[in-house]
Amino acid sequence: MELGEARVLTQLRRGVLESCVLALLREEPRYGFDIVRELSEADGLLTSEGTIYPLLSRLRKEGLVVTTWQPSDAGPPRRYYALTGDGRTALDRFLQDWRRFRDSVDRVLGSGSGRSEPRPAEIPLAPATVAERRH
Amino acid sequence: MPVTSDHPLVADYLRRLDEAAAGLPAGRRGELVEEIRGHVADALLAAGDDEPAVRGVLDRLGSPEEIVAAEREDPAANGGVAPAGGILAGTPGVAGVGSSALPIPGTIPGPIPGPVPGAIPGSVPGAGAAPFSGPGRAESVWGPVEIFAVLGLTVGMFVVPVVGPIVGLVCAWVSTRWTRREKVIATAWTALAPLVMVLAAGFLFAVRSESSSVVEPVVVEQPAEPFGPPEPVDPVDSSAPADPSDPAQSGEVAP
Repeated sequence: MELGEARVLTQLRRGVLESCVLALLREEPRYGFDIVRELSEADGLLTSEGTIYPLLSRLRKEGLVVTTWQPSDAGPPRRYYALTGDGRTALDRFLQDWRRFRDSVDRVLGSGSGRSEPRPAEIPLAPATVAERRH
Repeated sequence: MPVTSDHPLVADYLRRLDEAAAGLPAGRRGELVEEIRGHVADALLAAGDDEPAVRGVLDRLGSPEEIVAAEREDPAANGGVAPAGGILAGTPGVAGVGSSALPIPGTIPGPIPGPVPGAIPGSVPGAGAAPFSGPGRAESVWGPVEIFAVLGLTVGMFVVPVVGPIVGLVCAWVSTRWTRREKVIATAWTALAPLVMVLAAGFLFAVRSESSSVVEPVVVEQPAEPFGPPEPVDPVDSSAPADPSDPAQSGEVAP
């Protein structure tokens, strides 16, 4: 169904969304809609808001977050998600990995123009050598 | 909660979600529906209660099927934390690509005192370079010239001792598909291999003569045998590193 650009974004999102959620919980526990609201403000991170709940459930199973029910002044109690020690460790590790990954990708993507420069300098060796050899 | 559930659109949505989630574990099914119900309640608190607002909130949630599909993705995304590992694992490869592109400028002045010719013509034929850069790197690193280079530098060293490596080196430096870095590596290996063998032979020789001087009185025959093999290695190899650098390159630089 998804093609091209949309598919690339889906793949990218899949790799980082969980870590983004962990990052949102770094300072304080949050409830589901609060997390969704934060993510929605960041362009391109969340398309179908409802899918955040399966993701949160997964994080809980993996022991990266814990949940507590807290009363809300405006309705039913809300389920709050808080980072565990493991979650914090996972987040820190991701931050390191992400910076390296991002730099590598940026460098390779950016070198598209830079790469053509070394080439002409490198290639002429061949024709020149061949020419001289034949004479 | 009753407020939002009462809205027919919301009630309908939650019912569809509950049906779609029929395959999930019983506890999780109810939990998921409750989470979505809470989400809608919160969202409507912020967005208002009229129909467009409700539609907007449900729209942004995605379809019930989509949400349940995300729930089922569990095993696949159980690498959920693994994406972190995945990224890490991918990095060396990516970095490798980057580094193979980067060293070119850096390497040129350094380890290429011998094959300097590259530096000189490098600035000259800018126009001639263009057609050659086309079929270059992106497609393949292996053409006939490159295969001859490797054959010359490996098999050729033994089959045609002096000429083989020279031909190999020439082929390597003529190659339009290899980067300068790769050519330097090929050259270095060619020079290094005999060097290592000579050193090893010398080391063996030293050890032998040392031990033989001690052992000599006891076993007189022993030293004679081991001396045999290392010696023929010397002349073949010591000639190899010297020759390729001389005729192959210096002959070309002058004209």
